[in-house]
Amino acid sequence: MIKVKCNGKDSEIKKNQSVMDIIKQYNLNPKTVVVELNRNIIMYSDFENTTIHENDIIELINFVGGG
Amino acid sequence: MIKIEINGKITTLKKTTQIKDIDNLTDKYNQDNSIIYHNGYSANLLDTLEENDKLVIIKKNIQPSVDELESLISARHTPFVYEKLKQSKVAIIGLGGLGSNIAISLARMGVGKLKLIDFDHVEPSNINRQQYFLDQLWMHKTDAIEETLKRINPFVELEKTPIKVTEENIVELLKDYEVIIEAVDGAVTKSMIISSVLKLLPTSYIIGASGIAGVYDTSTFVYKTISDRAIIVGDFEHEARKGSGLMATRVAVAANIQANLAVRYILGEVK
Repeated sequence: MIKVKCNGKDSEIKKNQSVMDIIKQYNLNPKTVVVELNRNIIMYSDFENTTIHENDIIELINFVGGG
Repeated sequence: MIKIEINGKITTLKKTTQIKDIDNLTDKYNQDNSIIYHNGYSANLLDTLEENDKLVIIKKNIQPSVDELESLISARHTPFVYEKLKQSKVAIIGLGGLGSNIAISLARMGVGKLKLIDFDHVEPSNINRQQYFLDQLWMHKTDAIEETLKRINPFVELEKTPIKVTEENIVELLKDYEVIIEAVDGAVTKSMIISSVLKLLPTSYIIGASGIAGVYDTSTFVYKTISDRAIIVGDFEHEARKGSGLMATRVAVAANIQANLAVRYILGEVK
């Protein structure tokens, strides 16, 4: 397990998980989430190939429809 | 001597001049048939004028000349806000309940240029919350909002873009805009726009919305900031879906929070 901070909370997650894995664990639709990893924006096309490391800071901002 | 502005024209006056003492003021603009504003507020004729003050004199029931009109429209503005907004430009993506209200507020305030982006047409179900009229049904939203904005403030430059924003065209569409407002309907498009602007347009600031459906109390709206360059307004929960509609009141509150954030950014009041 590794320690990360996700949406402001300290969490422990399995090693070698991708951004996509984390989004699924939070039961979010990957197509509606804006992801910031260590203050860098990760695009949807990079969710699968971006790995989370120890002490990473992850922000998942989910969008809902209506406008 | 001091310089003040009367109806947009610079005028030199003696120091300690009171408003009532301006030459011919009482003849030309007697109070019964005119309205006078001093620095954005109803004038007290006994007030003394100071350097750079702005006076606007509006004659009732008279159609003003085009060269005076612009200063008359901004007569109730906080001083010097109009000048800054006039130099600014804002891109609005989506001209529905959010975007149509945002465009109207920014035009009323005198933003110099608006880029209006929407691929859609006006249809009857829009009328419950969007700033369109029944005689505009099936027009392009870009054409319909242009018609309305020109009636409100013809001094705003408009750039109409009746196409859909995609990952492929977003940089080309928005690269000249520092201030961008995301006002689209779909959650997938919203997240694509916010991510793309933050990632691909490193000097732009974007204001989005998420969670504005229903008639829940507007005090449930919060702001979330992403990477210092995106601010999102809404409750992040109440989406438009079966059984939960979009309503004029709550959508317009969110729209005007977004528009106000854009103005605050332009005026340098948000960092």
